[in-house]
Amino acid sequence: MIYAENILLCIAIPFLVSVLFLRGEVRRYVSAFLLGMGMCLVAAYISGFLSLVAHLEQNDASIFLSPMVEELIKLLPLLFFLVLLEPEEHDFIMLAVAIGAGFSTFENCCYILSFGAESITYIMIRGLAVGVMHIVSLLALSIWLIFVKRFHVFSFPAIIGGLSIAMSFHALYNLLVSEPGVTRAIGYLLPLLTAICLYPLYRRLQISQK
Amino acid sequence: MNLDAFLDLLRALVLLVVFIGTLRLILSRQNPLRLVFFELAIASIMLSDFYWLVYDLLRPGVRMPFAANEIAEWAMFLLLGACLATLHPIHFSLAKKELLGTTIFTIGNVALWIAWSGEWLQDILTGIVLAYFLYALIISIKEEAAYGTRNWCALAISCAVLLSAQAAIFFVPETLQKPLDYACYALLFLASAMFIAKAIYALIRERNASKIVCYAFAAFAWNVITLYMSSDYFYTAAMILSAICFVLMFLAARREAVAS
Repeated sequence: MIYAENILLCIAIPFLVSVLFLRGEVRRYVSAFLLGMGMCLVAAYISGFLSLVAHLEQNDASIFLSPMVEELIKLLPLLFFLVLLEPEEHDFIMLAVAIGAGFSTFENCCYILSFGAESITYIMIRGLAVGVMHIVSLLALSIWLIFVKRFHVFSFPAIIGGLSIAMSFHALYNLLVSEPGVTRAIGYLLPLLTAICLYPLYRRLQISQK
Repeated sequence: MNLDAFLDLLRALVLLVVFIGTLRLILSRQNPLRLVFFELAIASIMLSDFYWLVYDLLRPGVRMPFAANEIAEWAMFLLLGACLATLHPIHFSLAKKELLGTTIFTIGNVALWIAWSGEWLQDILTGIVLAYFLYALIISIKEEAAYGTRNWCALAISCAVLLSAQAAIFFVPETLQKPLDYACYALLFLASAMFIAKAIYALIRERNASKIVCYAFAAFAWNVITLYMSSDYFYTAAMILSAICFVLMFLAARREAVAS
């Protein structure tokens, strides 16, 4: 049992103080990073509640439930920014990456406190796999949202379609890493490979910058 | 490896080829909007197949508490619907009768799925996204005048007979259940063969690329209905037909992209 709210407070306070002394893009990045950590806590609350209601064990909840809840919760601030604030494409991508980074950082912190950090190999794998996975899924989703907005097809089916793919990708990752062996190794490689595939797409989209 | 897993793998490989083919098309186009929607739909069903394969490999025989791969199938319906909606946006005034018929048919299907599986939430959500795809398809068919009055009538009668016969299976005596079930399968697969034949014929002879898209997507839509109503060997046959439908949809999308 860990006290996730206390951990969040402990990590967030220095960031909050630093935000007061920052300006411009860096300030936005740190704020979005904090938002990502907060979203991780909200997702954990909702997943916990739903797994209790559905009588799911911890392993089943992480395979079947968490991907849906986490991807949905991560999408909400992105949609908020895109619909209400209409940021520049470059700023929007930055926000998505920062939220993903905050989300995975907080998740990793809680994981390390729960299960220890003795094995540097395992910690590196966790950082490279889960850490990258949240950023990659949110980055892909933000690129998709920019694409549909650019082509004036920003519609409910397009948003939900993109979200569902992110959920499926996350669910596949969680399933692959749930059992030891070759599948786990493939699972750990999946986010990194996706990040490599996304890079040329990101370059091709020619994200506009002020 | 069991037959279902083998078929999933086979279909996933076909989808991979379609995915790569569509990607190449996207990279060679200036305005690849429709192709991107199609590509993502293919990616989502591929994810669903891979998920099912991995699940079957890691947890053979264990029932999923929640079929996470169904989310990818919902994504596929939404994205294919959105793909068609870029061709002709959905306006309910354009095809009132047809859309009413589609709504009734979808509700009937959802009721049957619930009766068979008992999974209310998943079946209702699947029905909603399938209805969106069918609406987009019906509007496109109507706008392109792909079907004549005789085709619409044949389709309406087939749907009505199918739903009535499937519902009747719950109420008729046991001796009649099997023949009725086989009659439904005969109707489903005969219509599937006709839809696929029409799409292939259109690919060879039809000049209007948008019409070809309509025929290929209609073949896929009927295949989905067939797949969701089948079990055992019939499910296997429907899976093989679905791989064919994906190839047909790709060929139609390619023709449309080249023409536009």
